[in-house]
Amino acid sequence: MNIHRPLVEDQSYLRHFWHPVCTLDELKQSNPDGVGPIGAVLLDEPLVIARLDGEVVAMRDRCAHRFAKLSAGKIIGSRIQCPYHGWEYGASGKCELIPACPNDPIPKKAMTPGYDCRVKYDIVWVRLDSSWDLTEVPYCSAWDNPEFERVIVAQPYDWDSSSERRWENFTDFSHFAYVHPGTLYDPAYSEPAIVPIDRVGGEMQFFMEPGKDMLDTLPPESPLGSWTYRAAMPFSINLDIRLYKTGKPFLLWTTSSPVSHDRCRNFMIIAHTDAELPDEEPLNFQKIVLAEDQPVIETQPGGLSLEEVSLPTDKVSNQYRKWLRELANAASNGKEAFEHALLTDIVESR
Amino acid sequence: MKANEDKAVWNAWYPLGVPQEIRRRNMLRTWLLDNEIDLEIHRTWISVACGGRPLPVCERLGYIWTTLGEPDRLPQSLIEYYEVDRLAMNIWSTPLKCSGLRIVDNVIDNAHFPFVHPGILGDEEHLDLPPYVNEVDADGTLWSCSHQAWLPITNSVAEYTYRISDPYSVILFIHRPCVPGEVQRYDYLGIFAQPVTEEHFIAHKMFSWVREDWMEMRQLRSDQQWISVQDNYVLERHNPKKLPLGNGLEASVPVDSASMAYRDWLLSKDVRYGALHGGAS
Repeated sequence: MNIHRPLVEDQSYLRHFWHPVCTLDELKQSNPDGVGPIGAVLLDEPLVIARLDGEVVAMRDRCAHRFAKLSAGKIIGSRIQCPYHGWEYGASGKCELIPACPNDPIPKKAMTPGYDCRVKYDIVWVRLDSSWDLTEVPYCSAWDNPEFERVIVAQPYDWDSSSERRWENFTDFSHFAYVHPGTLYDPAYSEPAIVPIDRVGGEMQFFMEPGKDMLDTLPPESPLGSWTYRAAMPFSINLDIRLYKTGKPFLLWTTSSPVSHDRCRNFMIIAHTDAELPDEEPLNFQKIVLAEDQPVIETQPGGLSLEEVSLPTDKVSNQYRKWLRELANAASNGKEAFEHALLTDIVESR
Repeated sequence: MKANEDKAVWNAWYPLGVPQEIRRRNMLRTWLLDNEIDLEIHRTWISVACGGRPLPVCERLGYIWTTLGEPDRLPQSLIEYYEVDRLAMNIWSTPLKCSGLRIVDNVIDNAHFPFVHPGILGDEEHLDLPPYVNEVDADGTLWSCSHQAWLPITNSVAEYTYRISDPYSVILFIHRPCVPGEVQRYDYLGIFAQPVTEEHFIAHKMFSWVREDWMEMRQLRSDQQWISVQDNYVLERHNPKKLPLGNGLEASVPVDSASMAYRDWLLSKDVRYGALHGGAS
């Protein structure tokens, strides 16, 4: 009898990374002023996101008074107002007004923790623990890149699965023939290559060349080409496709945000060089692909287990899992160990 | 002798090296069974040919494998190698001047530990080796099980099992401590010979150990290399360089039963490449 052995015992290392929590578009759509507040959950931590005095801020979504959600409140000037008793919080997370006792000193405990927050790629990013400051917002090759005529930041989508599972699903070479036959892949190509994998600057990098013959059988909107992956740990993937059809670049970028151990919110950027192509076309094609993946991935338990059987052809996920374990273990040994585990390069490809 | 006249040897898979090392050194040529082998390095794979004839290739256990013959199965499998809580690596790929059969024979011989690896794998205070079991399974694989030997570096008795499924390779299973009810796990050492000629080979040595906090990759690799250096000193001083088979040239004692079983197994497969048959010296 074997007990359940999780891949990683302690998930707290994930707090040291930047994770996406909402798009700027979602913030803009949140109310007529377009400043929020809106709620999000990251690593089981409820967050409130708002634009205060032009700056996007993130803080714990909880009024210090009676624990009501600030995301249900509203923005008053440069403060978030709690919907229950009107307490008002500034950008730092400190309470600056308590209407019931306006002339009393404000208790020190009347605050909600603020988190580092950035806007990049029209997406709001949060890092829950910035004490080591060793991580960056993941790389996206299409942003500020004139080679791409069109860059689409898609509406995020939620899955009842973990970010680890979503990442592995996106990079899994062996599932194409079974989950995406006729969409992304020809079932004849079911035995994938075992490719060199590099660790560079906190990214897993690898290259894959699917069979060119599949051009004859796949639909024209299927982005078949050579695939260059730059996957910033832990949950981001920049998949630069050089299309066989045209020789031009096509980018699929995805970053999964860990809401909890079995729930994730996924952000996607699609970029291409055809200025005439309506956005719906690549977006709808990706919807088909996701609809093929989601019901399968949601049957998996969220947490990765050491009891799962790994094959030689699972090299990408095997290496990914080993790196996640190294990062988790290193984080429990402090900043220097974490830096070493994250930023020591290992190159196989050259 | 011509390697292609030895079916058991010709129709086996052999490792040519670790893909990342092949890439880094831009290794375009090697030797296998007296044949020059050409490698071509592509971005996502490595192809292999002999005199313009493309050879089958696969990547397993961290190595690129090929065959000159027509094997009826893939290179030996060790699925546990891929368990993600393991530290797996090539210890080295190093040329040696004797038959590759000699290194398999060396690995399965526990009686040399106190003398060749004193203070590491054995010592002269603990020379007794309890009896162990040799058997050939339904797939034709030779198993030598339940070897117990004093291991000075852990100050305890270690248990080993050896698996030989090809003439030129062996995998050592080091039994890990386990409590009743738990599935037995092993640490693995693989020693795979790439026979260059009958009297030269390249030793590829890998390990796949369940990772523990104290493990440091460079130190482990260097410790294992040191053990191999001790073995190599002896291996290169054998005379003859080939492994004697069925000719009464050697003297054996009961504790050598694994070596005897290996020799019988090679004879049963009519292995001649790298072996010394008859009374010749």
